Amino acid sequence: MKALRGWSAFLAAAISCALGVASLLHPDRNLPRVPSWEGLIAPLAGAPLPRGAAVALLARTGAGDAYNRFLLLEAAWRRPDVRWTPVQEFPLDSHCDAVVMTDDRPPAPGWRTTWESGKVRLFRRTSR
Amino acid sequence: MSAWLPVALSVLGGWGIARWHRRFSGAPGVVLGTVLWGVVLMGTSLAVLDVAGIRWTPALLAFLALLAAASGLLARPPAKPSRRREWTWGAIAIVATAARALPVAAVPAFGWDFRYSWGLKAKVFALAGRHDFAWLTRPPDWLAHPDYPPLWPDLIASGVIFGGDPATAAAAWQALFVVGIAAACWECSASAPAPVRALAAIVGAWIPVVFTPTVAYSGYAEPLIAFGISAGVAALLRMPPRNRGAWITAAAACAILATTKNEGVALATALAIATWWTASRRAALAVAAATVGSVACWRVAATLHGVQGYLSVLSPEWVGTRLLDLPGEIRAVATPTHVALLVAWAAALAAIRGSDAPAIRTIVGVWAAALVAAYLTSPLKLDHMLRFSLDRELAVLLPITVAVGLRNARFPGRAAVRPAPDSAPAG
Repeated sequence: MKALRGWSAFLAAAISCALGVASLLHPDRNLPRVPSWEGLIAPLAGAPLPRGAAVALLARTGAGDAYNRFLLLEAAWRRPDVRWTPVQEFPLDSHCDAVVMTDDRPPAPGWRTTWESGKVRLFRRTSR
Repeated sequence: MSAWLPVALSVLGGWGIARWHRRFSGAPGVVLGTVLWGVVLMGTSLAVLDVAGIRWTPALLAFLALLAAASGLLARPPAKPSRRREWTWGAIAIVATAARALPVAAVPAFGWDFRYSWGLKAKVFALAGRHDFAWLTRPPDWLAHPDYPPLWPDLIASGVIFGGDPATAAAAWQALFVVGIAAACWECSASAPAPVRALAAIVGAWIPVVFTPTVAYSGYAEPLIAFGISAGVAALLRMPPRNRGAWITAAAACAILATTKNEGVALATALAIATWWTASRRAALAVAAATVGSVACWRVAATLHGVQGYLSVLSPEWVGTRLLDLPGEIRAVATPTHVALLVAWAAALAAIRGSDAPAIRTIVGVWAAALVAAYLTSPLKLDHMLRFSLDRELAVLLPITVAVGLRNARFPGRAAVRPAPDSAPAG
Protein backbone atom coordinates (compact mmCIF):
# COMPACT_ATOMS: atom_id res chain seq x y z
CA MET A 1 0.00 0.00 0.00
CA LYS A 2 2.87 2.32 0.92
CA ALA A 3 4.62 1.62 -2.38
CA LEU A 4 1.38 2.20 -4.24
CA ARG A 5 1.02 5.60 -2.59
CA GLY A 6 4.58 6.43 -3.59
CA TRP A 7 3.91 5.53 -7.22
CA SER A 8 0.71 7.52 -7.06
CA ALA A 9 2.68 10.58 -5.93
CA PHE A 10 5.15 10.16 -8.79
CA LEU A 11 2.32 9.72 -11.28
CA ALA A 12 0.69 12.94 -10.08
CA ALA A 13 4.03 14.74 -10.32
CA ALA A 14 4.66 13.43 -13.83
CA ILE A 15 1.23 14.46 -15.11
CA SER A 16 1.45 17.87 -13.46
CA CYS A 17 4.88 18.56 -14.97
CA ALA A 18 3.77 17.27 -18.36
CA LEU A 19 0.79 19.62 -18.29
CA GLY A 20 3.11 22.48 -17.37
CA VAL A 21 5.31 21.74 -20.38
CA ALA A 22 2.26 21.18 -22.59
CA SER A 23 0.99 24.65 -21.72
CA LEU A 24 3.89 26.03 -23.76
CA LEU A 25 2.60 24.09 -26.76
CA HIS A 26 -1.01 25.24 -26.48
CA PRO A 27 -2.60 25.39 -29.96
CA ASP A 28 -3.64 29.01 -29.38
CA ARG A 29 -0.11 30.19 -28.60
CA ASN A 30 0.46 31.50 -32.10
CA LEU A 31 -2.79 33.45 -32.32
CA PRO A 32 -2.50 37.25 -32.40
CA ARG A 33 -1.65 38.69 -29.01
CA VAL A 34 -3.29 42.04 -29.66
CA PRO A 35 -6.98 42.41 -30.43
CA SER A 36 -8.11 43.15 -33.97
CA TRP A 37 -9.58 46.50 -32.89
CA GLU A 38 -6.29 47.72 -31.45
CA GLY A 39 -5.16 49.35 -34.69
CA LEU A 40 -8.49 51.09 -35.12
CA ILE A 41 -8.38 52.83 -31.76
CA ALA A 42 -4.58 53.19 -31.39
CA PRO A 43 -4.41 56.83 -32.64
CA LEU A 44 -6.49 57.79 -29.62
CA ALA A 45 -3.25 57.84 -27.63
CA GLY A 46 -2.49 61.24 -29.14
CA ALA A 47 -5.94 62.79 -28.80
CA PRO A 48 -6.05 66.12 -26.94
CA LEU A 49 -8.24 65.04 -24.03
CA PRO A 50 -7.77 66.71 -20.66
CA ARG A 51 -7.15 64.40 -17.75
CA GLY A 52 -10.33 63.38 -15.98
CA ALA A 53 -12.57 64.51 -18.87
CA ALA A 54 -15.87 62.69 -19.38
CA VAL A 55 -15.68 61.27 -22.89
CA ALA A 56 -18.29 59.28 -24.81
CA LEU A 57 -17.32 56.60 -27.30
CA LEU A 58 -19.87 56.32 -30.06
CA ALA A 59 -20.84 52.77 -31.00
CA ARG A 60 -19.42 51.85 -34.38
CA THR A 61 -22.06 51.53 -37.08
CA GLY A 62 -22.65 47.94 -38.10
CA ALA A 63 -20.50 46.48 -35.35
CA GLY A 64 -21.99 44.10 -32.81
CA ASP A 65 -22.45 44.78 -29.13
CA ALA A 66 -19.46 42.65 -28.20
CA TYR A 67 -17.18 44.48 -30.64
CA ASN A 68 -18.30 47.87 -29.35
CA ARG A 69 -17.86 46.71 -25.78
CA PHE A 70 -14.27 45.71 -26.40
CA LEU A 71 -13.64 48.86 -28.41
CA LEU A 72 -14.66 50.84 -25.34
CA LEU A 73 -12.38 48.79 -23.11
CA GLU A 74 -9.52 49.30 -25.58
CA ALA A 75 -10.20 53.05 -25.48
CA ALA A 76 -9.94 52.86 -21.68
CA TRP A 77 -6.71 50.86 -21.99
CA ARG A 78 -5.28 53.50 -24.36
CA ARG A 79 -6.51 56.46 -22.36
CA PRO A 80 -7.08 55.47 -18.72
CA ASP A 81 -6.74 59.14 -17.79
CA VAL A 82 -10.27 60.00 -18.96
CA ARG A 83 -13.71 58.69 -17.96
CA TRP A 84 -15.30 56.65 -20.72
CA THR A 85 -19.00 56.15 -21.40
CA PRO A 86 -20.51 54.10 -24.23
CA VAL A 87 -23.22 55.86 -26.27
CA GLN A 88 -25.25 54.93 -29.34
CA GLU A 89 -25.78 58.50 -30.62
CA PHE A 90 -24.31 61.92 -29.94
CA PRO A 91 -25.22 62.67 -26.31
CA LEU A 92 -27.37 65.78 -26.58
CA ASP A 93 -28.31 65.92 -22.92
CA SER A 94 -25.42 64.60 -20.88
CA HIS A 95 -22.36 65.73 -19.00
CA CYS A 96 -20.08 64.61 -21.86
CA ASP A 97 -18.52 67.49 -23.75
CA ALA A 98 -16.35 65.25 -25.92
CA VAL A 99 -17.25 62.39 -28.22
CA VAL A 100 -14.92 59.95 -29.95
CA MET A 101 -16.07 58.24 -33.13
CA THR A 102 -14.37 55.54 -35.20
CA ASP A 103 -16.59 55.50 -38.31
CA ASP A 104 -17.60 58.00 -40.98
CA ARG A 105 -20.93 59.23 -39.68
CA PRO A 106 -21.50 62.97 -39.84
CA PRO A 107 -21.64 64.71 -36.46
CA ALA A 108 -24.95 65.80 -34.98
CA PRO A 109 -25.83 69.50 -35.08
CA GLY A 110 -24.07 71.35 -32.28
CA TRP A 111 -20.89 69.27 -32.53
CA ARG A 112 -17.71 69.89 -34.50
CA THR A 113 -14.59 67.90 -35.27
CA THR A 114 -11.64 69.17 -33.24
CA TRP A 115 -9.09 66.45 -33.93
CA GLU A 116 -8.71 63.38 -36.06
CA SER A 117 -6.13 60.70 -36.74
CA GLY A 118 -6.70 57.58 -38.79
CA LYS A 119 -10.33 56.61 -38.30
CA VAL A 120 -10.54 58.21 -34.88
CA ARG A 121 -12.29 61.57 -34.71
CA LEU A 122 -12.81 63.74 -31.66
CA PHE A 123 -15.85 66.01 -31.46
CA ARG A 124 -16.69 68.81 -29.08
CA ARG A 125 -19.85 70.80 -28.59
CA THR A 126 -20.18 74.09 -30.35
CA SER A 127 -23.05 75.08 -28.09
CA ARG A 128 -25.26 73.71 -25.32
CA MET B 1 13.72 47.81 -16.89
CA SER B 2 11.85 50.23 -14.65
CA ALA B 3 8.97 47.76 -14.37
CA TRP B 4 11.41 45.43 -12.64
CA LEU B 5 12.49 47.95 -10.01
CA PRO B 6 9.58 47.44 -7.60
CA VAL B 7 10.01 43.67 -7.89
CA ALA B 8 13.71 43.98 -7.07
CA LEU B 9 12.95 46.35 -4.20
CA SER B 10 10.28 43.99 -2.88
CA VAL B 11 12.77 41.14 -2.95
CA LEU B 12 15.24 43.26 -0.96
CA GLY B 13 12.61 44.33 1.57
CA GLY B 14 11.15 40.82 1.72
CA TRP B 15 14.60 39.45 2.47
CA GLY B 16 14.89 41.87 5.38
CA ILE B 17 11.54 40.91 6.88
CA ALA B 18 12.21 37.21 6.27
CA ARG B 19 15.39 37.50 8.35
CA TRP B 20 13.35 38.75 11.29
CA HIS B 21 10.75 36.09 10.66
CA ARG B 22 13.37 33.34 10.77
CA ARG B 23 13.96 34.05 14.42
CA PHE B 24 10.74 32.12 15.04
CA SER B 25 10.68 28.36 14.74
CA GLY B 26 8.80 27.01 11.75
CA ALA B 27 9.55 30.06 9.61
CA PRO B 28 10.08 29.44 5.89
CA GLY B 29 13.49 29.34 4.29
CA VAL B 30 15.19 32.32 2.69
CA VAL B 31 13.68 32.02 -0.79
CA LEU B 32 10.06 31.40 0.18
CA GLY B 33 10.25 33.95 3.00
CA THR B 34 11.72 36.58 0.70
CA VAL B 35 9.03 36.16 -1.96
CA LEU B 36 6.22 35.98 0.61
CA TRP B 37 7.27 39.10 2.51
CA GLY B 38 8.20 40.93 -0.67
CA VAL B 39 4.62 40.57 -1.94
CA VAL B 40 3.16 41.43 1.47
CA LEU B 41 5.48 44.42 1.83
CA MET B 42 4.58 45.96 -1.54
CA GLY B 43 0.85 45.27 -1.12
CA THR B 44 0.77 46.62 2.42
CA SER B 45 2.84 49.69 1.52
CA LEU B 46 0.40 50.65 -1.23
CA ALA B 47 -2.66 49.98 0.95
CA VAL B 48 -1.36 51.90 3.95
CA LEU B 49 -0.27 54.89 1.86
CA ASP B 50 -3.72 54.95 0.26
CA VAL B 51 -5.52 54.85 3.60
CA ALA B 52 -3.21 57.57 4.91
CA GLY B 53 -4.05 59.74 1.91
CA ILE B 54 -0.44 59.78 0.69
CA ARG B 55 0.06 59.57 -3.06
CA TRP B 56 2.04 56.56 -4.31
CA THR B 57 5.46 57.62 -5.54
CA PRO B 58 8.57 55.65 -6.52
CA ALA B 59 10.59 57.37 -3.79
CA LEU B 60 8.18 56.38 -1.04
CA LEU B 61 7.90 52.78 -2.18
CA ALA B 62 11.67 52.51 -2.54
CA PHE B 63 12.18 54.06 0.89
CA LEU B 64 9.85 51.58 2.60
CA ALA B 65 11.44 48.60 0.84
CA LEU B 66 14.98 49.75 1.62
CA LEU B 67 13.97 50.39 5.22
CA ALA B 68 12.75 46.80 5.50
CA ALA B 69 15.94 45.55 3.86
CA ALA B 70 18.13 47.60 6.20
CA SER B 71 16.22 46.38 9.24
CA GLY B 72 16.97 42.83 8.13
CA LEU B 73 20.67 43.53 8.53
CA LEU B 74 20.02 44.02 12.24
CA ALA B 75 18.25 40.67 12.59
CA ARG B 76 20.28 37.62 13.44
CA PRO B 77 18.41 34.57 12.31
CA PRO B 78 19.70 31.38 13.89
CA ALA B 79 21.99 29.47 11.57
CA LYS B 80 20.38 26.39 10.05
CA PRO B 81 22.34 23.17 9.78
CA SER B 82 24.02 22.75 6.44
CA ARG B 83 22.54 20.23 4.03
CA ARG B 84 25.48 19.56 1.76
CA ARG B 85 23.89 16.53 0.17
CA GLU B 86 21.13 18.65 -1.26
CA TRP B 87 23.36 20.95 -3.29
CA THR B 88 23.25 18.83 -6.44
CA TRP B 89 19.52 18.35 -6.33
CA GLY B 90 19.03 21.92 -5.21
CA ALA B 91 20.96 23.06 -8.27
CA ILE B 92 18.76 20.89 -10.50
CA ALA B 93 15.66 22.42 -8.92
CA ILE B 94 17.07 25.93 -9.45
CA VAL B 95 17.84 25.26 -13.11
CA ALA B 96 14.37 23.81 -13.72
CA THR B 97 12.76 26.76 -11.93
CA ALA B 98 14.83 29.25 -13.91
CA ALA B 99 13.84 27.47 -17.11
CA ARG B 100 10.23 28.33 -16.26
CA ALA B 101 10.70 31.74 -14.66
CA LEU B 102 12.82 33.28 -17.41
CA PRO B 103 10.36 32.67 -20.27
CA VAL B 104 7.54 33.93 -18.04
CA ALA B 105 9.56 37.08 -17.34
CA ALA B 106 10.43 37.57 -20.99
CA VAL B 107 6.87 37.70 -22.33
CA PRO B 108 4.91 40.84 -21.38
CA ALA B 109 1.37 39.96 -20.30
CA PHE B 110 -1.25 40.17 -23.04
CA GLY B 111 -4.34 38.22 -21.92
CA TRP B 112 -7.73 39.80 -22.35
CA ASP B 113 -8.59 39.86 -18.67
CA PHE B 114 -5.16 41.33 -18.08
CA ARG B 115 -5.70 44.05 -20.66
CA TYR B 116 -9.25 44.94 -19.70
CA SER B 117 -9.34 44.15 -16.00
CA TRP B 118 -6.10 43.64 -14.01
CA GLY B 119 -3.78 45.77 -16.14
CA LEU B 120 -6.40 48.42 -16.83
CA LYS B 121 -7.04 48.90 -13.12
CA ALA B 122 -3.29 49.01 -12.54
CA LYS B 123 -2.96 51.85 -15.06
CA VAL B 124 -5.84 53.73 -13.46
CA PHE B 125 -4.50 53.29 -9.92
CA ALA B 126 -0.98 54.30 -10.93
CA LEU B 127 -2.28 57.44 -12.63
CA ALA B 128 -4.31 58.38 -9.57
CA GLY B 129 -1.53 57.42 -7.17
CA ARG B 130 -4.07 55.52 -5.08
CA HIS B 131 -7.09 53.24 -5.40
CA ASP B 132 -9.31 55.31 -7.67
CA PHE B 133 -12.72 54.60 -6.18
CA ALA B 134 -14.40 57.14 -8.45
CA TRP B 135 -13.31 55.04 -11.44
CA LEU B 136 -14.23 51.78 -9.70
CA THR B 137 -17.71 53.11 -9.00
CA ARG B 138 -18.25 53.86 -12.67
CA PRO B 139 -15.94 51.71 -14.78
CA PRO B 140 -16.28 51.74 -18.57
CA ASP B 141 -17.47 48.14 -18.40
CA TRP B 142 -18.19 45.62 -15.66
CA LEU B 143 -15.69 43.24 -17.24
CA ALA B 144 -13.14 45.25 -15.28
CA HIS B 145 -14.48 43.60 -12.08
CA PRO B 146 -14.28 46.76 -9.97
CA ASP B 147 -15.29 44.91 -6.80
CA TYR B 148 -12.41 42.42 -6.87
CA PRO B 149 -9.79 42.85 -4.13
CA PRO B 150 -6.91 44.94 -5.46
CA LEU B 151 -3.62 43.19 -4.67
CA TRP B 152 -2.82 41.97 -8.19
CA PRO B 153 -3.55 45.32 -9.90
CA ASP B 154 -1.66 47.04 -7.08
CA LEU B 155 1.45 44.96 -7.70
CA ILE B 156 1.25 45.69 -11.43
CA ALA B 157 0.64 49.36 -10.65
CA SER B 158 3.89 49.47 -8.69
CA GLY B 159 5.72 48.82 -11.96
CA VAL B 160 3.77 51.58 -13.70
CA ILE B 161 4.56 54.00 -10.87
CA PHE B 162 8.25 53.36 -11.51
CA GLY B 163 7.77 54.24 -15.18
CA GLY B 164 7.36 50.76 -16.60
CA ASP B 165 4.50 49.40 -18.65
CA PRO B 166 1.91 47.17 -16.98
CA ALA B 167 2.52 44.19 -19.26
CA THR B 168 6.20 44.01 -18.35
CA ALA B 169 5.43 44.61 -14.68
CA ALA B 170 2.97 41.71 -14.63
CA ALA B 171 5.52 39.41 -16.26
CA ALA B 172 8.17 40.43 -13.74
CA TRP B 173 5.93 39.70 -10.77
CA GLN B 174 4.78 36.41 -12.25
CA ALA B 175 8.37 35.25 -12.67
CA LEU B 176 8.77 35.88 -8.96
CA PHE B 177 5.68 33.79 -8.25
CA VAL B 178 7.21 30.89 -10.21
CA VAL B 179 10.15 31.01 -7.81
CA GLY B 180 7.81 31.29 -4.82
CA ILE B 181 5.63 28.32 -5.81
CA ALA B 182 8.72 26.18 -6.45
CA ALA B 183 10.21 27.17 -3.08
CA ALA B 184 6.94 26.37 -1.28
CA CYS B 185 6.80 22.91 -2.89
CA TRP B 186 10.47 22.30 -2.05
CA GLU B 187 9.86 23.21 1.58
CA CYS B 188 6.62 21.27 1.76
CA SER B 189 8.39 18.05 0.84
CA ALA B 190 11.06 18.64 3.50
CA SER B 191 10.87 15.11 4.87
CA ALA B 192 11.61 13.51 1.49
CA PRO B 193 15.06 12.72 0.07
CA ALA B 194 16.72 15.46 -1.95
CA PRO B 195 15.78 14.04 -5.39
CA VAL B 196 12.12 13.98 -4.39
CA ARG B 197 12.32 17.52 -3.04
CA ALA B 198 13.81 18.63 -6.33
CA LEU B 199 10.95 16.92 -8.14
CA ALA B 200 8.46 18.74 -5.89
CA ALA B 201 10.10 22.08 -6.71
CA ILE B 202 9.92 21.28 -10.43
CA VAL B 203 6.23 20.43 -10.06
CA GLY B 204 5.75 23.84 -8.45
CA ALA B 205 7.69 25.77 -11.07
CA TRP B 206 6.00 23.95 -13.93
CA ILE B 207 2.49 24.44 -12.60
CA PRO B 208 -0.07 23.47 -15.26
CA VAL B 209 -2.24 25.87 -17.24
CA VAL B 210 -1.81 29.20 -15.42
CA PHE B 211 1.25 30.39 -17.36
CA THR B 212 -0.09 29.32 -20.76
CA PRO B 213 1.04 32.01 -23.24
CA THR B 214 -2.34 32.75 -24.81
CA VAL B 215 -4.91 35.53 -24.51
CA ALA B 216 -7.01 33.33 -22.19
CA TYR B 217 -4.35 33.10 -19.46
CA SER B 218 -1.49 35.60 -19.81
CA GLY B 219 -1.21 38.06 -16.94
CA TYR B 220 -4.13 36.68 -14.95
CA ALA B 221 -4.26 36.52 -11.15
CA GLU B 222 -4.06 32.73 -10.76
CA PRO B 223 -0.26 32.54 -10.38
CA LEU B 224 -0.50 34.87 -7.37
CA ILE B 225 -3.28 32.71 -5.91
CA ALA B 226 -1.25 29.57 -6.56
CA PHE B 227 1.71 31.12 -4.78
CA GLY B 228 -0.43 32.20 -1.80
CA ILE B 229 -2.04 28.80 -1.26
CA SER B 230 1.29 26.98 -1.79
CA ALA B 231 2.98 29.10 0.87
CA GLY B 232 -0.01 28.65 3.17
CA VAL B 233 -0.16 24.86 2.86
CA ALA B 234 3.61 24.56 3.33
CA ALA B 235 3.23 26.55 6.56
CA LEU B 236 0.21 24.60 7.77
CA LEU B 237 2.04 21.30 7.53
CA ARG B 238 4.87 22.55 9.72
CA MET B 239 2.63 23.85 12.45
CA PRO B 240 3.18 21.98 15.71
CA PRO B 241 1.85 23.92 18.69
CA ARG B 242 4.66 26.35 19.30
CA ASN B 243 5.83 26.96 15.73
CA ARG B 244 4.91 30.61 15.69
CA GLY B 245 6.93 31.16 12.53
CA ALA B 246 4.57 28.83 10.67
CA TRP B 247 1.45 30.61 11.97
CA ILE B 248 2.83 33.92 10.79
CA THR B 249 3.57 32.46 7.35
CA ALA B 250 0.07 31.01 7.04
CA ALA B 251 -1.47 34.31 8.16
CA ALA B 252 0.59 36.25 5.59
CA ALA B 253 -0.39 33.77 2.88
CA CYS B 254 -4.06 34.18 3.80
CA ALA B 255 -3.73 37.95 3.61
CA ILE B 256 -2.32 37.59 0.08
CA LEU B 257 -5.10 35.21 -0.96
CA ALA B 258 -7.90 37.24 0.58
CA THR B 259 -6.81 40.42 -1.20
CA THR B 260 -6.30 38.85 -4.63
CA LYS B 261 -9.62 37.55 -5.94
CA ASN B 262 -12.82 35.92 -4.76
CA GLU B 263 -11.25 32.52 -5.40
CA GLY B 264 -8.40 33.62 -3.17
CA VAL B 265 -10.89 34.46 -0.43
CA ALA B 266 -12.30 30.94 -0.71
CA LEU B 267 -8.83 29.38 -0.48
CA ALA B 268 -7.89 31.57 2.49
CA THR B 269 -11.10 30.45 4.20
CA ALA B 270 -10.24 26.83 3.42
CA LEU B 271 -6.77 27.30 4.91
CA ALA B 272 -8.23 28.90 8.03
CA ILE B 273 -10.73 26.04 8.49
CA ALA B 274 -7.98 23.45 7.97
CA THR B 275 -5.84 25.22 10.54
CA TRP B 276 -8.75 25.09 12.99
CA TRP B 277 -9.17 21.34 12.46
CA THR B 278 -5.55 20.32 12.46
CA ALA B 279 -3.47 22.85 14.40
CA SER B 280 -3.80 24.83 17.60
CA ARG B 281 -6.67 27.22 18.24
CA ARG B 282 -4.27 30.13 18.60
CA ALA B 283 -2.80 29.42 15.18
CA ALA B 284 -6.28 29.14 13.72
CA LEU B 285 -7.29 32.45 15.26
CA ALA B 286 -4.21 34.16 13.79
CA VAL B 287 -4.91 32.75 10.33
CA ALA B 288 -8.63 33.52 10.53
CA ALA B 289 -7.92 37.06 11.73
CA ALA B 290 -5.61 37.67 8.77
CA THR B 291 -8.25 36.36 6.38
CA VAL B 292 -11.23 38.19 7.85
CA GLY B 293 -9.23 41.38 8.39
CA SER B 294 -7.98 41.45 4.81
CA VAL B 295 -11.38 40.71 3.32
CA ALA B 296 -13.11 43.21 5.61
CA CYS B 297 -10.67 46.06 4.90
CA TRP B 298 -11.34 45.90 1.16
CA ARG B 299 -15.06 45.17 1.40
CA VAL B 300 -15.68 48.02 3.83
CA ALA B 301 -13.70 50.47 1.69
CA ALA B 302 -15.43 49.31 -1.50
CA THR B 303 -18.89 49.42 0.07
CA LEU B 304 -18.36 52.86 1.57
CA HIS B 305 -17.41 54.16 -1.88
CA GLY B 306 -20.35 52.43 -3.55
CA VAL B 307 -18.32 50.00 -5.65
CA GLN B 308 -20.47 47.23 -7.06
CA GLY B 309 -19.87 44.00 -8.94
CA TYR B 310 -21.72 40.98 -10.19
CA LEU B 311 -24.25 39.82 -7.62
CA SER B 312 -24.69 36.11 -7.03
CA VAL B 313 -28.11 34.69 -7.86
CA LEU B 314 -29.39 32.75 -4.86
CA SER B 315 -32.88 31.81 -6.01
CA PRO B 316 -33.52 28.08 -5.57
CA GLU B 317 -34.85 27.85 -9.12
CA TRP B 318 -31.67 29.31 -10.63
CA VAL B 319 -29.34 27.23 -8.47
CA GLY B 320 -31.38 24.06 -9.01
CA THR B 321 -31.41 24.44 -12.79
CA ARG B 322 -27.68 25.04 -12.92
CA LEU B 323 -27.03 22.11 -10.59
CA LEU B 324 -28.88 19.83 -12.98
CA ASP B 325 -27.04 21.33 -15.95
CA LEU B 326 -23.59 21.20 -14.37
CA PRO B 327 -22.56 17.59 -15.18
CA GLY B 328 -23.65 17.91 -18.81
CA GLU B 329 -21.96 21.28 -19.22
CA ILE B 330 -18.74 19.94 -17.75
CA ARG B 331 -18.83 17.03 -20.21
CA ALA B 332 -19.49 19.47 -23.04
CA VAL B 333 -16.52 21.71 -22.30
CA ALA B 334 -14.08 19.04 -21.09
CA THR B 335 -10.78 18.78 -22.94
CA PRO B 336 -7.89 16.35 -22.56
CA THR B 337 -6.28 18.92 -20.27
CA HIS B 338 -9.26 18.77 -17.89
CA VAL B 339 -9.10 14.98 -17.87
CA ALA B 340 -5.35 14.97 -17.22
CA LEU B 341 -5.81 17.49 -14.40
CA LEU B 342 -8.45 15.29 -12.78
CA VAL B 343 -6.24 12.20 -13.09
CA ALA B 344 -3.36 14.13 -11.51
CA TRP B 345 -5.70 15.24 -8.72
CA ALA B 346 -6.85 11.69 -8.07
CA ALA B 347 -3.27 10.41 -7.96
CA ALA B 348 -2.12 13.27 -5.73
CA LEU B 349 -4.92 12.77 -3.23
CA ALA B 350 -4.36 9.01 -3.19
CA ALA B 351 -0.71 9.59 -2.32
CA ILE B 352 -1.41 11.68 0.77
CA ARG B 353 -1.46 9.81 4.05
CA GLY B 354 -0.92 10.15 7.76
CA SER B 355 -1.20 13.43 9.59
CA ASP B 356 -1.12 15.42 6.33
CA ALA B 357 -4.37 13.97 5.07
CA PRO B 358 -6.94 15.79 7.25
CA ALA B 359 -5.51 19.24 6.47
CA ILE B 360 -5.29 18.67 2.72
CA ARG B 361 -8.69 16.98 2.50
CA THR B 362 -10.25 19.89 4.39
CA ILE B 363 -8.68 22.47 2.08
CA VAL B 364 -9.59 20.57 -1.07
CA GLY B 365 -13.13 19.92 0.20
CA VAL B 366 -13.81 23.56 1.10
CA TRP B 367 -12.23 24.72 -2.15
CA ALA B 368 -14.30 22.32 -4.24
CA ALA B 369 -17.50 23.35 -2.44
CA ALA B 370 -16.73 27.03 -2.96
CA LEU B 371 -16.02 26.44 -6.63
CA VAL B 372 -19.28 24.58 -7.19
CA ALA B 373 -21.17 27.26 -5.26
CA ALA B 374 -19.60 29.96 -7.45
CA TYR B 375 -20.60 28.15 -10.64
CA LEU B 376 -24.14 27.57 -9.39
CA THR B 377 -24.84 31.11 -8.21
CA SER B 378 -23.08 33.16 -10.88
CA PRO B 379 -25.29 35.25 -13.15
CA LEU B 380 -22.98 34.45 -16.08
CA LYS B 381 -23.59 31.60 -18.53
CA LEU B 382 -22.46 28.30 -17.07
CA ASP B 383 -20.77 26.96 -20.20
CA HIS B 384 -18.87 30.24 -20.63
CA MET B 385 -17.64 30.15 -17.04
CA LEU B 386 -16.58 26.53 -17.24
CA ARG B 387 -14.87 26.96 -20.59
CA PHE B 388 -12.77 29.91 -19.47
CA SER B 389 -12.04 29.08 -15.83
CA LEU B 390 -12.35 25.41 -14.90
CA ASP B 391 -8.82 24.42 -15.95
CA ARG B 392 -7.30 27.40 -14.13
CA GLU B 393 -9.24 26.58 -10.97
CA LEU B 394 -8.20 22.94 -11.13
CA ALA B 395 -4.56 23.97 -11.53
CA VAL B 396 -3.93 26.51 -8.75
CA LEU B 397 -3.96 24.06 -5.85
CA LEU B 398 -2.53 21.07 -7.70
CA PRO B 399 1.27 21.55 -7.36
CA ILE B 400 1.28 21.96 -3.59
CA THR B 401 -1.07 18.97 -3.23
CA VAL B 402 1.32 16.91 -5.34
CA ALA B 403 4.20 18.15 -3.18
CA VAL B 404 2.37 17.00 -0.05
CA GLY B 405 1.96 13.57 -1.62
CA LEU B 406 5.69 13.52 -2.40
CA ARG B 407 6.59 14.17 1.26
CA ASN B 408 6.49 10.48 2.01
CA ALA B 409 7.52 9.17 -1.38
CA ARG B 410 10.83 7.42 -1.96
CA PHE B 411 12.49 6.46 -5.20
CA PRO B 412 12.49 2.65 -5.58
CA GLY B 413 15.48 1.00 -3.96
CA ARG B 414 16.25 3.91 -1.68
CA ALA B 415 15.70 3.68 2.05
CA ALA B 416 13.99 6.42 3.98
CA VAL B 417 16.48 9.02 5.00
CA ARG B 418 16.22 11.61 7.68
CA PRO B 419 13.30 12.90 9.70
CA ALA B 420 11.60 16.10 8.63
CA PRO B 421 13.36 19.18 9.92
CA ASP B 422 10.04 21.02 9.98
CA SER B 423 9.29 20.69 13.63
CA ALA B 424 12.77 21.57 14.78
CA PRO B 425 13.33 25.13 15.93
CA ALA B 426 15.02 27.24 13.28
CA GLY B 427 18.33 26.96 14.99
